[in-house]
Amino acid sequence: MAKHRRRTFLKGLALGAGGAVLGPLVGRLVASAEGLPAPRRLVLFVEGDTLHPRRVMPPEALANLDAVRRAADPGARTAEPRARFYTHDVPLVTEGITLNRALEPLAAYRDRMTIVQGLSNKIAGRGGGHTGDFGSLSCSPGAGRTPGGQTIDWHIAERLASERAFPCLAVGTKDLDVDEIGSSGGGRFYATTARAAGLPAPIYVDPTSTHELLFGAVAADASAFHRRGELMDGLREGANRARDALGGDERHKLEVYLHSLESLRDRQSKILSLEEALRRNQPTATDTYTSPHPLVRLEAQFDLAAAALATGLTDVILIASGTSDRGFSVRYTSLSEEIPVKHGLAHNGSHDGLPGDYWLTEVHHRHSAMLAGLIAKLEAIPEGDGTLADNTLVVSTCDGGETHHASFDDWASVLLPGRNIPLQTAAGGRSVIYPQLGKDNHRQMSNLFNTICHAMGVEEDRFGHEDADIRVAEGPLPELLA
Amino acid sequence: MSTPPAHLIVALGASLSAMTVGCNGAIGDATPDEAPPAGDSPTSMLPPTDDAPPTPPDPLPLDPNGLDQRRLFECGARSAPPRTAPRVLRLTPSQLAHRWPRGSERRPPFGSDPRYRYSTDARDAYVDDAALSLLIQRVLEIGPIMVARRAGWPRCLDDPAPDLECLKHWARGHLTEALRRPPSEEEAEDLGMFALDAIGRSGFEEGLALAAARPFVGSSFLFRTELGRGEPDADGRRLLGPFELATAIAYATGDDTIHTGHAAFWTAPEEPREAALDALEAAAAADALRTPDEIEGHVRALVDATPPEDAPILPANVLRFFREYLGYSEVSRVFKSGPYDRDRDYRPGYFERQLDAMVSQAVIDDDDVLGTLLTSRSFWFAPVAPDAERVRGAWPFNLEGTLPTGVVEMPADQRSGVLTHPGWLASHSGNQHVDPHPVHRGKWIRENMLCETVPDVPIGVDARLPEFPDATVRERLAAATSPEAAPENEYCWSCHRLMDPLGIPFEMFDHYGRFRREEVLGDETLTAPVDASSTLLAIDDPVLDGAHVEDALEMMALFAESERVELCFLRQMFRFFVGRPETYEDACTLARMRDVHLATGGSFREVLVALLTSDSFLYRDSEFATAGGE
Repeated sequence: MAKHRRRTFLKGLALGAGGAVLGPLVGRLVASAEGLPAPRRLVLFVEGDTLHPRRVMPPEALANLDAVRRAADPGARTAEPRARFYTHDVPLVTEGITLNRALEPLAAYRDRMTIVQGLSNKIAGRGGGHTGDFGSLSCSPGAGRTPGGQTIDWHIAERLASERAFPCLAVGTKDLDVDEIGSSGGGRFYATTARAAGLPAPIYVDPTSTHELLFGAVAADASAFHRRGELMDGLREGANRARDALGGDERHKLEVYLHSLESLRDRQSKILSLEEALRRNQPTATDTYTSPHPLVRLEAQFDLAAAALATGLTDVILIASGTSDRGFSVRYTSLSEEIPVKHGLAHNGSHDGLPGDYWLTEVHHRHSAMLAGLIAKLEAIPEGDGTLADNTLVVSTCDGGETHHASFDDWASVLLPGRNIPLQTAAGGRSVIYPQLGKDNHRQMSNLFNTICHAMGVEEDRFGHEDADIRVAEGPLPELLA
Repeated sequence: MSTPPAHLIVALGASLSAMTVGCNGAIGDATPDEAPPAGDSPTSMLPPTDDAPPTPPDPLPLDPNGLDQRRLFECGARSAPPRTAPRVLRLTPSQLAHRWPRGSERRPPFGSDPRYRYSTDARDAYVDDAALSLLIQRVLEIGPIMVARRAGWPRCLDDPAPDLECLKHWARGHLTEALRRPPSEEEAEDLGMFALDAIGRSGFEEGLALAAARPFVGSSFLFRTELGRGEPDADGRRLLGPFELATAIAYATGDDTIHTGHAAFWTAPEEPREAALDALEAAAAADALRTPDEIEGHVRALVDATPPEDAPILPANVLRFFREYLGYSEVSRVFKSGPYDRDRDYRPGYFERQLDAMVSQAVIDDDDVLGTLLTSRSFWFAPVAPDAERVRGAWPFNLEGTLPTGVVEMPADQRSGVLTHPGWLASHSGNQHVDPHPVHRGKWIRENMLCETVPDVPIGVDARLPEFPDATVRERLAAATSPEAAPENEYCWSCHRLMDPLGIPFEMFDHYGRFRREEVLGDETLTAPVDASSTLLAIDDPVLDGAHVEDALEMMALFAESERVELCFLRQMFRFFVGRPETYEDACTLARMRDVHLATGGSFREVLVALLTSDSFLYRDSEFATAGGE
């Protein structure tokens, strides 16, 4: 009886005036009091260009691959981390792995890690070469810069029917002009992530802009945030008049504008309901926000992403590092001031006597450190009988297949599920290598995305719009699901 | 060659950044016939949800290259009268920047992200919540700037408690400057009331700043309409309203429009464009833009309003047409590498400026403009400073010493027209010496100079050349796609015959656009003589089909004689300046453009005047809109 009264009180508090102050905290307490599972969160990190198989394949997995090949054919060539050597017939699972340089900073989380290789994503490539852009996360063909389908981040957010202020949030880094950096209100670009076919979503690439977007309501001068609402008053009428004069497809443009107005007002009120949590979690803007170095700014974006999750602003975050062809011009100047642009490194252009591959491995190493830092932050936030990290799935993948000019037949990913995320784990970590394209048990990135859906509590077996002729199998990957 | 059936026409966007190999037997290959049909985009499969923004009606429309070119130019007594659907067009980033008040450090947050062939095609130009959110942030910064200046504002605003009549009076003037047209009474009343409320709520300075900023986030500022005015004519069409038309003409030639330079908030255009815009505004106010004759003079004045520069340069939007038609502005985005150890001296930015000057000079001379562009050896070199840069800019042109200034006659055996200019060649090639990209160049020519379509790369095809270190690109390409090299290549050849023969002649240039007689092979220790000869295939044109050429110079000479190329050029002009793909209903407009082109010996200016005074440009269909408020 006492438990019931407590639950009723908490629900009332959450829905009433107090909810405006205690919203996310009370929401978690209500979930806990009712025995409901805490919401699951997804952090999807996307490395622009490629996550090269040799950078992630553990030596134990490579040895295992070699042994299986030699068992089938004693004269087989020594295995290399390339799809042409994935000649085995069933997914090759290796438990107890050593992390390569690129993944080393994630050593503390090795027990929850699964490295997935051998999945193809041909539909994203459309002929090969460079990035799959929107096709990478949507498994659908697009035309140029027009996404051909909804990407997995937005798909999950939509299926979760998220009521967060940001159903899905995308932040990241790319090269920015000096005068763009730190320009509050600037720095976003459209690539990689899409709300729907034909509707790309923005990636915020300037930390100052991200901070203002997320925490502007409690900034030192919050008056600008409040004036936004006033400014929007009455704008609907003018747009309605213009829309009503039109028929056919042209109405759509004004309908999108009207929808934007509505969603901003909705977001404004949701953010205001989180005022206390915003104050508690807002990171302090530092000079890293305006650093000329893309990787330093990316680290700031990771901090902001963790803060957004902690505040309850969103449950689904995409973090993009130099994605799409427009990410090729990024220069990792924090590694070396005169380093060539990423495209040059991808062509293995040397710098300081070291090949491009060395520098890109170092970039991955730093990405891994940022991912580890984000998980550590989430571990520090209590939730239910554990922490926020327990309810968070972190996935690291790329938007360009196995190499710079790729065939898109070996797309590597790293899964880092929290304790309450139903994915398989093993002490010492796991590697799963799927058989090469053409084998019965070959699988595709769409299967991995189905798996992520299941792990997030979304029943989905047919994500993506892959051509039926090239879809190998529907459903998730049983080797990964718990 | 027969025109591909409509179901094959897909919007092509997949990168052909590498070349095709292994298209036989790749698992899951789709034949070109199985390419996804246009209009059958996944959009239609998405259920609408309350949270999702409205999905676009048709993100992948039919490619106009699928239309029958001859029929497009057949105008007869029974032809439908041309018209364009009523439209609402989001302003382009350049147009918005020109309308943005001076004094604000940051511009409107709209970048160039073209999803269609031309930036003027506004079919997919939306304002999503991210853009609107950023716009609001920026607009809040400009309100106080405007209040501090108060330039041109009524004296009644000296009273810190202005009444509604004063604020409506202010709103009328402010909206006229912001929207570049007289506002409706309803709009002025809305803003006046808003200002009164805001001042009451937040005080005079802050309230007025908010009101001053408000028009810049409204739909009337972000979009312009083309609805037409009055009652429909007998064909169900409406003539554009005077200010709709004045804006359309102004934007056809430049990024700024009427009502420029009238207040301290905006940057005035330079002469002679400012005078031309003033005359256009006066004509709109006097409703003197009703007939082609009334319109023609204004179009001529704006086309001829070339900015004063140290090298020939066209009005902004006219030059933009050529940049986008030829696609040479991409040159700085294409990374280049070796083998000449000249990368550090590579200055692609110069190419764009020099090609701008070359194109501008041809248009200013206005004598057989297309033929001149295709065959001229008179390359313009815009002034470059400092001297060190002049050295760096010369070598891709095979010029010794420093980059010259002015017109240089290039060697007859090396260059012929804009497609042999490093600006175009480096834009349309790969990153390395082993990848000058005959497939990409051929595909571009097929689609943009012949107005035909190449099916998209089938899913599953591994589009890369085999890496033979001792073979030329031509040989590697033949091994992968030619049925003469391997019978199983027949499948590949069904598409590659549309591309490779048009791209191979450019093998006389490397990936920087430098003329070469010897090709450096893959391992950089060997060279081989260049063979740029080609037999052109499957072109619906007697001049071109089956023609054998020794190199790109011969091919360009044939292109200059080709009717197919000429008509395609006119179609490209239509697409850019009308801002949509052509249809069969535009046949009389296109036929008129063709007649003018022939009669004037290839005058670009006269064809543009014909287009901007055509019914396709001036009239809107009355079916899908009510008349505008003008």
